[in-house]
Amino acid sequence: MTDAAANPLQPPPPTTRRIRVQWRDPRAVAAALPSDPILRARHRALADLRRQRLGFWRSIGRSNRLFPRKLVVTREGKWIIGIALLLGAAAVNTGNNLLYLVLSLAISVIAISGMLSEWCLRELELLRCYPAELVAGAVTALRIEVFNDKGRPALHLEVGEVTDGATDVQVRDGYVLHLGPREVGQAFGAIRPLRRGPIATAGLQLTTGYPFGFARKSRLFDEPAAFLALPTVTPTDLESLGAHDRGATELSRKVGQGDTFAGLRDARPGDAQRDIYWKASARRQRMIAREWQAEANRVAVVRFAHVAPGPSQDPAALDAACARVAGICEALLRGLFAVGLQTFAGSVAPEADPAGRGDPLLRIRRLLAWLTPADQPPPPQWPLADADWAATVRAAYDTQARLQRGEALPWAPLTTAAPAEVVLVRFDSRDDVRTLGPCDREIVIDAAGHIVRTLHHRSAHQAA
Amino acid sequence: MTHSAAHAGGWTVHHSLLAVAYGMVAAGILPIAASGELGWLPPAAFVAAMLVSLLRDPRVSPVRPVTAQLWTAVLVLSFAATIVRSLQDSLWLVHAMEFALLVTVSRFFQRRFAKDYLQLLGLSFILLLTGAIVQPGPMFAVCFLAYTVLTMWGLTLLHLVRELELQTHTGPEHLLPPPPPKRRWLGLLPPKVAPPPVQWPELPVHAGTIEWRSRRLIGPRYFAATSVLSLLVLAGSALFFFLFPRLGVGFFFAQTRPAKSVVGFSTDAQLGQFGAIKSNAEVVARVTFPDDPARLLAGVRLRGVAFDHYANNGWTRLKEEPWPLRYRDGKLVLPRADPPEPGVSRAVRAEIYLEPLDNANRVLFAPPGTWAVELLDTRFDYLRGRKKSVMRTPSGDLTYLAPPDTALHYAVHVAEPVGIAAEAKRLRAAEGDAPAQLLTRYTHLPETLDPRVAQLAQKLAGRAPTWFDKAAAIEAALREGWTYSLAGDQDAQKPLEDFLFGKKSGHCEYFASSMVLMMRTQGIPTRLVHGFSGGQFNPIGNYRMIRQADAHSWVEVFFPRIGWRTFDPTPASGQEAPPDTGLVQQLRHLADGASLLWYQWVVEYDLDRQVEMLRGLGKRVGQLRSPKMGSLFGGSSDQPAQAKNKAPVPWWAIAALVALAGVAGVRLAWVAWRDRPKVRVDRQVDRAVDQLQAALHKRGDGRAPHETWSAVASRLRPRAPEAAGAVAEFAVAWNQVRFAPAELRLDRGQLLAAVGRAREAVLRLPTKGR
Repeated sequence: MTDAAANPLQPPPPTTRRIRVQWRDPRAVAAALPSDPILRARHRALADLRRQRLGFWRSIGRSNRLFPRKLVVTREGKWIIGIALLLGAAAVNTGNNLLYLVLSLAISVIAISGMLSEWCLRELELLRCYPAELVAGAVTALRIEVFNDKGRPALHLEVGEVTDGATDVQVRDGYVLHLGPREVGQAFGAIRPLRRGPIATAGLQLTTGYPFGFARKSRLFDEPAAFLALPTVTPTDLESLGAHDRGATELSRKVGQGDTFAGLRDARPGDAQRDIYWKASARRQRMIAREWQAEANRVAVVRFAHVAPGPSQDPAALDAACARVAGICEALLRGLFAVGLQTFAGSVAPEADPAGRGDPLLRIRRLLAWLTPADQPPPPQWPLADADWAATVRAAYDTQARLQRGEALPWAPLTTAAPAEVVLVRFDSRDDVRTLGPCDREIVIDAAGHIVRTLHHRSAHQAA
Repeated sequence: MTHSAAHAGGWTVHHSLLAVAYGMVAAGILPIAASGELGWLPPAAFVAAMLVSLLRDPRVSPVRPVTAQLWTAVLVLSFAATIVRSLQDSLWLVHAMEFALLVTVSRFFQRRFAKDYLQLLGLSFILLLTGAIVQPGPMFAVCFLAYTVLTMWGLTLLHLVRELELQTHTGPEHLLPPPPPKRRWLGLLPPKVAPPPVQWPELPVHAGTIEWRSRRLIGPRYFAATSVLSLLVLAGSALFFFLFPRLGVGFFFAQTRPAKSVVGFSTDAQLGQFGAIKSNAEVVARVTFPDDPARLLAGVRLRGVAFDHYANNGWTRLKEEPWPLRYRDGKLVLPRADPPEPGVSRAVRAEIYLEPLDNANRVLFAPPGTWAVELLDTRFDYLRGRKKSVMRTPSGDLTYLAPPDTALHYAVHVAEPVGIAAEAKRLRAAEGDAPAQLLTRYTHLPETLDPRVAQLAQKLAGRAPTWFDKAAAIEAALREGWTYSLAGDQDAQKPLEDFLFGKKSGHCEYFASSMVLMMRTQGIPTRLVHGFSGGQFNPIGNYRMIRQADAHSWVEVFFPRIGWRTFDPTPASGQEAPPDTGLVQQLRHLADGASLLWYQWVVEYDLDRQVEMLRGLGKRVGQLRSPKMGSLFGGSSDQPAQAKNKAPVPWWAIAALVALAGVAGVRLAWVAWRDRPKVRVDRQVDRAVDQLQAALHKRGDGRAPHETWSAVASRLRPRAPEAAGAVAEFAVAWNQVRFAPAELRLDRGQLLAAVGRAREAVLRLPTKGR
């Protein structure tokens, strides 16, 4: 998680190791409380959040190393236990040996059920086989390979990510009906992030109700996973941005200059010999030349002033805005602009996407996924290293102070090879945001991400 | 996936569950039907309903809501009727069983989902429980065994069907409309609003694949493996059953079973009664001689009651108040009974297991010559408030007090005459007069007695000098001159006279009655005795079975200063019932042995037997004796000399050592099996593949989790064709190993070589610039 946070534009490294580690005690893993009061508050908040999500007993049970299994008695199991207790009372009271016999049968069935479920869960290993990047609100299939290393079959297995009660993600378990001895099976689950940003799961959980369904016994695998939920892209028209089609118009004037293949045309006097396409010429029985064009001729830098639109300290408040920013960038890319993104927390260099592969937009969305309100500390569960988190918190307080003093906020550094058109995106509720440097266009959005108004500023094209 | 598509053709998991569920219900109903508590009509109707319900599959054509409501109404009315009838006649158990059968029938016709089958299984369990109460006999043991095996099948299949319903969306939560939200606190609080369920898209693995895989899973191997599971469950059940402390309070009812009816042991007996039961093979007692097993090969005589008054073709006896016997040296000693005397009599000890008999006077059967009685398995009776005692009437009949309808296990000490000749000499020498009261009572003759009886007696024994000689003469004459027959065709008005002077054939009652009357005409106190004689040796259980057919009559003659002595005028062919032969005999022996085991070690298993079992286990282990197939009545000391020379080890120490050794052995075996050398191929290949992936990652071309190796090779091709080729070759080898059938797979060496070549090629790549 630390690497991904340090370099948010790069996808997290893949997991290649099969998971076979049992659940570790998180209290043992956690270091002593640091001296920095900011970090101390963060660790306390994390512990409170864990207790709030799991509840007191589950948070203790999850840390229990003596019995590294989770057992949930089903309705059928409660019935059989209740019947066994009643039978026991009846047998002891009446002294009827046949009631003792039937009671022994019930107890034996319960004991065998526990033994077989444990027998089923042992010597199983898991391997995650799914991408680390998701899209907020969209469902992504999770493929998990289950390796049965023992000489006995394993049945009725459910595998899924452990979210520890997190409310920002929905997970569905995958199912394997039967794994023969030393076989590999696949379980297909699903995950749906409800918001953008980094999402962490605590590990994998392997559950079985085998053999009788009296209880669902779970085995926890301590291998946290990190996902990055990219913001969605809100469809946006260039017209709504007031950009028209200047990119294409400019492109047509620049055809002939550049190093990108644009098409074939009839050769004209003055064309270079090397531009003649002899194969097509032989086929068409006339001289055909290659047309070249410049890859991009307009550069746009979108500056997103990601301060909190309202009093809420939830990074989800920015979700709609980030989706709109992504939509604006996507519209500009469609208009053959080379688009870059500049925020207070980071920047993406301008890049065009003439072939429509989506890589520039993907980099922009990765940065947008990591954004939190610049004038608020990130939530305690934000997956940053302690030092980075502390620095981010201090930067947020510094931003608040600057805003209160009416000072301008510093943008993350960004250099462009060519003069860029600056498009500022800000919330309509935050007039106190002042930017450094002029902008060519100002797009004002509301908290729901709708474009309220677009303002044009006549100023020189200049990137900060 | 639609319901009909899921159930298209062939034998499915659902069919297996249906068959097993019906089997479990049948195993539960069988003991109830066999007990006869419900009569024949309800069980027959139940079976008919079971069969009719098979004609329709509610999964294919679901029950209409109107029909379901009709069933509910019927059940509610039936429940009310059950309560009313039970209040009227107090037959709660019978009416509850009828209601349970009706509920089960309703489930038969409405079975659709796993929850319905779960209810069927639960009802079968209730039927089995009821059967345990009303039919504690060996029939329940057979049904219990069958039920255990079927339970394992049923529970595993039920769980599988439930899982299929959840995964293929064919359960009630998907196919039925959601139930209305339940109001809380009797409607005072509004219902809890549940969060809307999360909508997920269809799985990549089609539901039909899961259904198909379930069919492949359920086969003969599955049932065989589950049957092995039932053996484990039975073993576990036996362990819990035998070790669970029997400290039952027994407030409601003690361990009872139905008593058997016997004829001829009440206060009166009509001539001819025994003839009717001579073909009844029902066992009433089992006898063993722990100290002298060879005695089992000979017949056994068990005395019951003595009759003193003959009139109107029948015998009666005076109703006397019995006196309780007193303890002496741990035994209940009979007053005026002679213990064994060296040179005169020898000590014989017999253990008798008496079935619960439906005789009003609770007769305790013992061999003639019994001088003491020992009640066995009574050590902890005081804890449960159960009292057992033995009493004796003035006329010498033994009776007992015990909880009703319970078997009795006791030992008798008998003083058996050393030799026939010595005994005869002693009896001839008996002198003196019999007590007047005894004389009056046991020489009484009916007024309507035919004078020919006295004439015959005079003719046969008039010249005999002593009472013994007279008795011997009459006994011999009857044995030789009259024929044993079970025909029972004597004259109804004067059966005895018809026997003596007419047909000259009859069964033991006639012989004994004739001798008693003839002896009395000679003025000798004589009485008729009813009991059992003979029996049949059961080699399987190593005991002698005393059956109803072994009921017998004989004679006791009083000798002054000696007491009552036994004479049997019945010819030898009639003294013992003819034994069964062939397969019938063996089956009966096997059935009786199993029945005894069942009753002793299951139905009547109590704290006494539990302690005895643990002690016996400790002794056997401590003395390192090989267990022998000995008597069912307990281990006999067949090597008493050796046992005396060894210092006994405390049984609790032995039991603890055995338990510890067992646990340690199981643990060692499990660890050895867990840590056994496993196939290392996968680990080595895994490591090599990990190294390849690490090398790719270092060079900036790491494989994403969702990428295949072929995709990695394609990605590498523009930049590094040589490395891409090596990786592609590895990809082919890898896919062959993972997905190809066994006969097409590469061997380990080839795969490792491919991985190695790919890694070397990747290592030669420069690190990709960022």
